This record gives sequence, C-alpha cells and structure tokens, in this order.
Amino acid sequence: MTNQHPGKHRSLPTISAYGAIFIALVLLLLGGITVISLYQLDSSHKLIHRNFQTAARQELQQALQALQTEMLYSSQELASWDEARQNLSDSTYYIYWRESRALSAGVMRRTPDALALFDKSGSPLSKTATVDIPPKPPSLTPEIFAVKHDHRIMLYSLFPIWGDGAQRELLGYGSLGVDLLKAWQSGQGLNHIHQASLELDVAEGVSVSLPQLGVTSSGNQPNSTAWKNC
Amino acid sequence: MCMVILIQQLRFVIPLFGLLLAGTARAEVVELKLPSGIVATAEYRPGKPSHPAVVLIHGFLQTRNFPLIAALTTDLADSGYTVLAPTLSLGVNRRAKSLACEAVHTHTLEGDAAEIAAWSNWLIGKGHKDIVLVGHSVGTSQITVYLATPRYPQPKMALLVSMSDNDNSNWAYNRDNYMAQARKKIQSGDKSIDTYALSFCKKYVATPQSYLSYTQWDRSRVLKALKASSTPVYVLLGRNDDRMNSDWPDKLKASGINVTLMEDTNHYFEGQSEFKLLDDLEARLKSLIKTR
Repeated sequence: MTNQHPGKHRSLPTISAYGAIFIALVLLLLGGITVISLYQLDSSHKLIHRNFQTAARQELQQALQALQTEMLYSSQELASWDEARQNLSDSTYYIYWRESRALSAGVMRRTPDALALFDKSGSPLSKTATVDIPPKPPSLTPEIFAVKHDHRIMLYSLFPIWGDGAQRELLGYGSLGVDLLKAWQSGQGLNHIHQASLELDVAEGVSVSLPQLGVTSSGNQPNSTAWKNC
Repeated sequence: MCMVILIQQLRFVIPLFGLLLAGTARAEVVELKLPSGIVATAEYRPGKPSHPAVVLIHGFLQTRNFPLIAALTTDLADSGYTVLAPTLSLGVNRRAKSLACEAVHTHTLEGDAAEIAAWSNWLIGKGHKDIVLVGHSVGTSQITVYLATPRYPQPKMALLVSMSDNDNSNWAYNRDNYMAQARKKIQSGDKSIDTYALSFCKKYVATPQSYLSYTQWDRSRVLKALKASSTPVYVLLGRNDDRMNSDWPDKLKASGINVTLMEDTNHYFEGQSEFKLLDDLEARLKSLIKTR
C-alpha cells in the first residue's frame, strides 16, 4: 500500500529546464562581464583620448613656446643689426635690402618668412612692399601674436628698434613673420598632432594673442584656446 | 708668518692692479653727431697734456675693435698718449660691427675723411692741439684724402700702416670695367645699386658714387696727394703683405715718402710684429712730446 496525495503532486523540472536555466545564467553572466568589459574599455579609451589630448595640448604649447623664444631672439638680433638701423636712417634702398639681403644674411637665429621695418610713426618703410606686413600698428611694447592669413597661420613679432643702448632714441619698429606649420615641419615636427588639423577658430586677418593660443606664462593648461578642436 | 709673506708679496701686486684699473677706468665711448644726422662713436682715452693726441683709423668696413687697432689703443694710452679710436659710421647710426660686403654701401671715401675731420675738430675742442693720424690698410686712404683736403685741420704727423696699394690686382679687380659702368650710371642720373668687387669684397653692393669714390684714388693720385702734403708722412709696410704689389714700397720711396719695411710681417702686423710696430710708432711720436 502506498500513501498517495494526488492534490499535492509536484513534477520535478526536467533536465532540459535545468539546461535552459544554466544557459540563461551563463548568458547573463557573460552579458554582465561583456557590459563591464565594454564599460571599462570605453573608460580606458576615453582616458587614453584624454591623455592624448593633454599630451597634444602640451606639445602644442611647448612648440609655440620654443618658437616664441626663437622669435624673441631673432627680434633682438634684427633690432641690434647695423643694417636695419641703416635702413631706418635712410630707406632709399630698403626694398632691395628687404628682398635680397635681409632674409638671406643669416644674421637671425631663425630665418623668418616675412620681415618689415616701420618708421617712428609706425608706417611701413615701403608702401609697395605690403606682403606679409602684420595687420597691426607696432607699439613700444614688444609683442608676439598669430594671424590666419591665406590659409596659413603666421606668427608675428612686433618690436621697437632703438638707436642707443639706453633706449632713449627711437628709430622705428621691426617685424618678423614665421609660417607656423612650415616652421614645425622644417623642425622636429609634432608627434601628437596632425598638423593639417590645426586651424584657428578666428576670421582671416584677426590677430590672436599667445595666451589665446594656449601659451601661458604659468605653464598651466588654459581652459579654452583659439584653436579649433582643442 | 705665511700671511705676512703673502702681504709682502701683494704690496707689489696691489699698486699694479690699481694702475690697471686706473688705466681701464679712463676709457670711455664718446659720441659725435655728424652733419648727416648720423651718430658716430669712438673710444676716447685722455692722456698726458704734454703728449700728442693720436687718432687711430681702422681698415675697410672694420670697427675700432679690430685687433690691431684695439691693441694700439691700449698700448699708446698706457704710454701716456691721448688716443681717439673712432668707428667710421659708413652711413650707419652708432655702427657697432664690421659691415658685410653684401650690405648696401652708400658711404664714400670723401665722407669718411670728413668724419675724421669732425673727430679732429672734436679733439681740438677738447684742447688737443697736436694731433697725429694713424691709419691701417684702407684707413690710410681715408687719411690720404684728409691730407689732400686743405680745409681740414692738418695733423702734426701721419703714420700709414700697411698702406693701401690701390692698384693691387685684388683691390682693383675688374676696376676699369666697373668704373666705366659706374660712371655711365652717374651720367644718366641712375643711383641704383650694383654688385662690384672692391678690396677683399668679391661682391661689393654699392651705389656708383660709393664705388667710384674708393677706386678713383689710384696709385698716381695717392702718391701725388702725399707728395703735396705739408704734413710729415711715414709709411710702415710688412714685407709679407700680400695686399700690395711688390713694387709699391719703391714707388712710395720714389715719391719722396719715408717708408719702413718690416721683415716677417704681414698686412695685419700679427704676433711679434705688433710690438715692432708699437716701438716704431712710439719712436716717431716721441719727437712730438713737449718737454717743459
């Protein structure tokens, strides 16, 4: 005699059901692992991208600072060059000197792509030699700035030229221009930046100061710059 | 004990050091505004009132810092002479460095001589009555033009070191053609610059007036001017000077000019020759020292 309770009968899960549950759990686990992995991968990717951007900004800043230093040296060399002072005293042969002598003399540490001299009032010594003259009147305070000009980014320095060491006798002003990308291409180049992607987010002819380009005296990264995508 | 010995030794050194300091402290750079408005500079070392003032003129496109001129400046000043060593402006305000051959040259030999005259007048204004002009290389041509210009205050003596031989093949390279070219330009009123050859410059960029001013003073004109000068002129040449033709010393002597030819000496009087040159200069300058 068996004790049967027909109302309380329980059918045990089949092996197929166990299999399905197992597969579902495994899939769930794999899914979780995948989600976590993808999340971590994305985080790593974002981190790498962020680090890459930081490195690129630093490289840009360092490259600009190096060029700024070179331009300051070259500006001093031009300002103390006897022949520049000669032209400010007598500009009769200025165009010849500017086109045939000044850029090839090897007096400056970096041969500029553009050079111009201005009289005491800030007017160019030659009205006809207007190519690559910075679109800004010079002042007694030396300054360096960039200008987008004919699909090029030109870095200009503007500085006074004194007739004496005590800086009492102003003879005029000088200006040097360097094609930024050309300068970097001829140098060591940039590792983290695709140069063709560098573009200033300003209109043609508008001058941009060095801090706006990301060059800060403190060495800290600025919050925003005049570069596109930077 | 050691300290005492050290102090005893130093008692000879300290006055020497003091003398050295006193000598260098007297040197000053002076400025002179020329009629053209350009400011010329010179090193001025006042000396003893009994001694003549010596004006030292550097060579072609150089400055007063040229080694031979700088050495003579120090040596003559140390011997008690007033020394004025100008840097000829060559049309450049406060010119500080030697001018490159390829720079634009608008200066003239006559302009250089006028600048020497301005400095002579500056010295006269300072109370120096007895002035001696000493030039090296092309500096001697500038002094020759000065001597040939009666309106300039004539010096007591002129000493011409490594005197330019303006007919030397290097100095006068292609001279006839270039002179004809320059004259043609001047006649047509063309003031544009050209590339010539002059002295050690194979590419000398100059106005026709500038080029001609230097080349038209050839041997015969120089000898004639020196012969006519009332100022005693002494020429010192190095036997090994390759910037003169071999007959140059004889041509000078034949014109009645007192020439000293130094053995083992080149155009720049380098090494021991510098001392021989100084001895010779001082021996001649001594005759002008006032003994009262």
